[in-house]
Amino acid sequence: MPKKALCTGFIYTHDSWDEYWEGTLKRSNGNIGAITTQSVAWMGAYGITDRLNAIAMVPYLWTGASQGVLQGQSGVQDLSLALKYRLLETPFTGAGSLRVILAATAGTPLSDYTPDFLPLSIGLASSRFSGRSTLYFHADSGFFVNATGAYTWRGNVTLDRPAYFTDGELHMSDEVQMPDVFDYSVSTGYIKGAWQVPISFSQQLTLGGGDIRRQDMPFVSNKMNLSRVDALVKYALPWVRGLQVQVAAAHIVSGRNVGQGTTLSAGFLYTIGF
Amino acid sequence: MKNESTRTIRAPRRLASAALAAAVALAGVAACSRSIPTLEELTPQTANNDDAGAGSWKMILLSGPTQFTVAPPSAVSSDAYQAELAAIKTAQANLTQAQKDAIDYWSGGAVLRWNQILRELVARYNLPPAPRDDGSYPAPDANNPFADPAFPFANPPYSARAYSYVTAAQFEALKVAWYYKYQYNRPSPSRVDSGIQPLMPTTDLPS
Repeated sequence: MPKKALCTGFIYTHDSWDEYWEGTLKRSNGNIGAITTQSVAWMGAYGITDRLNAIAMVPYLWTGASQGVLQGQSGVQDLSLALKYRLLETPFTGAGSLRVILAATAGTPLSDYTPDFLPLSIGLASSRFSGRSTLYFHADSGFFVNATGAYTWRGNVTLDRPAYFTDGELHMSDEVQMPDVFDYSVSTGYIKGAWQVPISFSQQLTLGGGDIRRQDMPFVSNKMNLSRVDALVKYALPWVRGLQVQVAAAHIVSGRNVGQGTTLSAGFLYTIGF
Repeated sequence: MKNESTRTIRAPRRLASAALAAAVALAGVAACSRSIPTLEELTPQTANNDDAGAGSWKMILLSGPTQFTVAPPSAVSSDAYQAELAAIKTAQANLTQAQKDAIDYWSGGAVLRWNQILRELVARYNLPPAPRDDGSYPAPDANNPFADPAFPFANPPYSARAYSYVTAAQFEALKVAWYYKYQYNRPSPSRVDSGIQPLMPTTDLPS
C-alpha cells in the first residue's frame, strides 16, 4: 500500500463441514448434520507511509446446523487491528526482489457472544496479540514465493458457568486459560498486471489444550490444529479504476478438534488515494 | 520505492514506535492470561456453632450412633497418649509442602471438598455413549468399566443418587463422631499440650 492510500471493501465467506475430528478420530454427527458458518467482513488498509500500513477488520458471522436442536448464533465477532511494516526490500539474484515484512496484530471481541457453544459459537471470545514475520520473493517474471509464520498469545476467556471440565480435570472457575497458537503458511503464485493468483498451504498448531472427549462437545481451549490449502484469484477491473474483485476457496486436509471445512469467499476491495 | 534511502534513515524510529505499541498490547494479553488452578482456593472454614448435641440427632441410615463402637482413648497421663502427642509434634516439625497444601485444601471444609470431588467425577462420567457405525448405542459394562462408554453413567438421575449417597453417609458419620467426641470429651491435642500448634482454625470440639 502506498502512502495515504486507503483500500477498503467487503468479503463474504461461506464455510461448511459435516465431518470433524473428535480429538484425532474423524467422524460425522447426526445431532448436528452439517455446520455452516457465513460471514461478511469489512476490511480497511491504510498506508501510513509506503512501508507502514495499518489494517483493520470486523466480521459479522452467522452459524447454523442442518440437523438437531442446536440453535445457530449470529453477531459481530472480533475487531482485528494490525500494523504491517516492510523492513527490507532488496534486489535478489538479479531475477527479482526479496522483501521482509513484520506485522503485529491485536484482536478483541466486539460483542458479548458466548464462546461456550461450539461448534455454533461465532468465535472464541479471546483477546489476542500476534507477531508475524514474512519472507517474500517476487520474480520480475511475475512469479512469487512467500513464507510466513506467526505466534499468537491469547488472553483468558470467561464462561457463563462456575466450573468446567477439560483436559481430564474439573476447574472450579469461570475463567479458561487459552493456549498459544503458532501458524505458518507457504504460498506461491503469479502477480502481474491486473491479476494476482496465489495458492498456499498453511498449518495452525495450538500449543496446549485438551481433546474433545468421546461424544462430547468441543471446548473453547481445545487443541485445535489444522492443515489447509487455499487458492485465491484477485483481479483489478480494467473499467473501474481502483476496484479489485476476488474469489477464494480453501479446504482443510487434516485437523484435530476442528471441522473439515470447505470455504468459499468472494469480495471486492476499492483503493482510494488521498 | 522512490526516495528509499531517505526513508531508510527514518525507519528505525518508526520501527521503535511500532515495537512499543506491540509491547503495550503484549503486556495487556500477558496480564490476563494467568493460569487457572484446578482446585478452588478457599479461606479456612471457621465454625460458628459446635453443634454439641449432634450425637443425638435423628439417624437416616444407621440404627443409632452406637451401631459402630469406638474404643475409649487411653488416659491423658498414659505413656501411650504421651507417645501420640510426641508423634504429632514430630510430624508437625517435618511437614512437607505437599502436606501443608493438603492441610490448606481440607481447611476449606471437608463437606465442601467431598462435594467438589463428586462434581469432578460427575463431570468426568457425564457423557452419553457414541453411536456405533450401525447406529446402535453401546451400554457401559461394569466388568470392563474403562471401555467406551465409561462406566458408570453420570446423567442427572444417577448423579443425584451418587450425591445423596455421599451426603447421607457424611451426615451419619458426623453424628456418630459427635456422639463419641462428647461421650469421651477428650480436649484436642493443642489444648492438652501447648507445644502442638493448631494448623486449622480451632474450635472447642473434643478431640
